[in-house]
Amino acid sequence: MSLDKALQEAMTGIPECLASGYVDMQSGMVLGVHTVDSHPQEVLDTLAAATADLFQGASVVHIENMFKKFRGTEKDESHYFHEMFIFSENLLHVFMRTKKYPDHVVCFVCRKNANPGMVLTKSRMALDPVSAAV
Amino acid sequence: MSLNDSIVELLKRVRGTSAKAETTSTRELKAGSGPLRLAAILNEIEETVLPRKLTFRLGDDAHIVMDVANGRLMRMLEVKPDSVVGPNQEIFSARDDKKKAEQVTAFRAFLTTFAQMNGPMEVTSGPPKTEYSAAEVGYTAPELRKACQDFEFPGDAPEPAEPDKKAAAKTPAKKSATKKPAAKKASAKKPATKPRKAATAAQASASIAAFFDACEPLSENIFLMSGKGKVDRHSGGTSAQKDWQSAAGDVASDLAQWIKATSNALGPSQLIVLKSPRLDNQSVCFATEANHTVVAVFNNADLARVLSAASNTLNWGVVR
Repeated sequence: MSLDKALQEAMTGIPECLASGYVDMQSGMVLGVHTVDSHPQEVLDTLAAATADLFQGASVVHIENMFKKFRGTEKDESHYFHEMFIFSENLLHVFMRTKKYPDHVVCFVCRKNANPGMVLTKSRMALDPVSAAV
Repeated sequence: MSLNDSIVELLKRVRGTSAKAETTSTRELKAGSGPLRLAAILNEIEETVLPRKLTFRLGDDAHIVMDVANGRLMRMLEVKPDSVVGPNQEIFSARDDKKKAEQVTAFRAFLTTFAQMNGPMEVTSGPPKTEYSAAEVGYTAPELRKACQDFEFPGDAPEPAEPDKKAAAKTPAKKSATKKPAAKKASAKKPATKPRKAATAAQASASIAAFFDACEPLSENIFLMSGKGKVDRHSGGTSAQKDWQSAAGDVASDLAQWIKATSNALGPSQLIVLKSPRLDNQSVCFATEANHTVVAVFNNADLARVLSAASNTLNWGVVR
């Protein structure tokens, strides 16, 4: 199954989902995207480029290292944070690192009236089929 | 069920759906001031997904008629009274990116002038007469909101903050009586923007402080920082305090960069939650508003409580 098709299918299960994207944080590039007509793709492109800045920015790396230190797992090279949720005035954005490729992030954009718990749960369930389509 | 019955049932349903799309309904929009009327109009546009003709009526004489679809203003059909339309302005017929600045200025003028008129407001939603092709994108509600966001409604400035009241109380009565006409003249020329902005900033700062207070019992470590990374308030374990304070500068600079890159799409107020997948691990949230940021470290299991605290305290309502 193509990545775009997998994203499209994932969106059908996530409540109030307007857009989905697959981002390679190493390059900041969007590898796949699917949006409903009313949600311009340019918005997702802008976010994708900025995602790596936040997810892998100095502050987050600093905090990850602090947590590893507190927990005595400094040698663990895996990332501490795998999920990022952004609540804005109108939308809820979910970014999740995939298990298969930790530098790849799947992003779902939902309307803010969606149940956040359901959005997170359904997003997690959609993660593996999407990353398998890469 | 026989095939005939199935077809009859299906046709009934189709007829029911089409009847629903053809109906016209009128609702009252409760909005008592200019900013609320403007917000109500923009919300209506944003929440209209199927193609509809929306007529906003204000009192007996004023109305705006527009076609809306997919949360976008597709076409402005009519604006009354004529005084709402400026001398060099055209009613928007189709998006033209070459004339985007003029079109956005015209919207701002139409919508804000209309919203300033008095009277009860209602909206009528009916079927549109025009079908729009996929190439016609119109203007999204956030684009319109952005165009109107810094508009100051005259006479709508909130009461000045406490220090100003105290200063006014200290001023001798005679002096204020002699100065009054001049002050009135000045305010007629230019609305009091500074007190309004100051009051808005104060309100935002108060809400971010309220978020800090609500999250404090849930957090292992929590900071309230100014935009440049200066820690104004802290609560939590002292052993990790130094580590956290050393991270504050990085957090402030990364967040400033993120807000700059995304504010067009997401707005300047955001709640960002970074979460690890394990239940017994910690999460971190950054709530930004009015150039202040709350950084809170909490247990993953408390995520719902933190979201609830954000929803109750932050001005823009994190979760609906």
